Amino acid sequence: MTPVDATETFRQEAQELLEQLEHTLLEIGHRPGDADLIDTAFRALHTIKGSGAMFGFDRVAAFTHHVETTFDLVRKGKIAATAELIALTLAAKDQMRQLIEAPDAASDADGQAILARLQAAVDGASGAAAPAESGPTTWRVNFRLPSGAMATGSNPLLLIEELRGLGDATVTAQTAMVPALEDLDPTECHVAWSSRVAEGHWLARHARSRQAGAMRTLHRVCSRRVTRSQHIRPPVCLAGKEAALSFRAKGRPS
Amino acid sequence: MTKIILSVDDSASVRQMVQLTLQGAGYQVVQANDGAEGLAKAQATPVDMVVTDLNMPVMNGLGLIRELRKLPAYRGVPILFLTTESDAEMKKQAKEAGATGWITKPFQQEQLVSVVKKVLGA
Repeated sequence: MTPVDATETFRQEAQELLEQLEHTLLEIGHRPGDADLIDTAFRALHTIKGSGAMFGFDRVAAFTHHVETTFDLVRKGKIAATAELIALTLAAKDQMRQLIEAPDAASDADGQAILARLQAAVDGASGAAAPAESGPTTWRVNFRLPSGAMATGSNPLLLIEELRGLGDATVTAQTAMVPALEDLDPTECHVAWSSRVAEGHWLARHARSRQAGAMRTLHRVCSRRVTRSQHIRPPVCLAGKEAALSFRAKGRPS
Repeated sequence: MTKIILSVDDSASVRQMVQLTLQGAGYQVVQANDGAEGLAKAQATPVDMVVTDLNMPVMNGLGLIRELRKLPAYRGVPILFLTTESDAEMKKQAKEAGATGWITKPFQQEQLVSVVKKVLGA
């Protein structure tokens, strides 16, 4: 076995940890005082940092160190796991993924901006003065289609178009899971998408109760675009300035 | 006779690196994913040394050391921490729990081998 194998093991491990981190953060949104969840998120960050440094992913380790430090404050009860903090940690998670999977395309300026906002959120959560924010809520919507989705005629482009109709949307394709051409399976949709949807007039009008209503609206749109043989796991919503919605369409058990 | 070292870490890539490094130096390595699994494996197969992470799910490194030191067979077995933690208070707790030494991640392979050889005397 060569060191290259260990590096690949780290990539796979990091991918699993980032998925676990996302799931855990969204759960913390529902249960911000759950110490087990907070420990799990901290450990994921801790492992990505430590293993990243070990295998030469220095940018990953340096960036994650700051996020881990923030979450350590949450773990020690010094600051609360506010919705803003969770949303920013989710943004940091996306940056970590970029640094691991496509480091050449990862922008250090974006990373620094996230860390600056994270620090501001920490200051706010720990009682320091934080400027009040105004303006529309931004939704983060991450999705991918289930196994075999293309065989059932699902067309993710329709879902993306409809999401764009809800507000000012920035949609980014996540192509890390696209295999080599010879391994490509035409019945599988290998691409996932992450998007940010700034709440426009349409979404605001149909979501009088803010986050809860907006979440229902987004869920309805997304559900409608998935074929009958599939279902969407209920989305998770975080209250606050930036809300997060993450779901994965799953095949319905037969 | 080949010395057996138990590597306990919730990171598969770190365990793999420890195994590669120590096997290359002539040791046999047994892996465990967390403190509880490490404890079970240590009880099932006597090992000559334990190299453990600190922050792990289910049972962390401190818990593992405390449990191992309760077992007569492990009162004198060297236990090294291999962790990104470098907090002085944490090191003090580790020493009180019965840790033999502390290696900070990221580690150099030569450094790990050197420390293990020094502690095991072989």
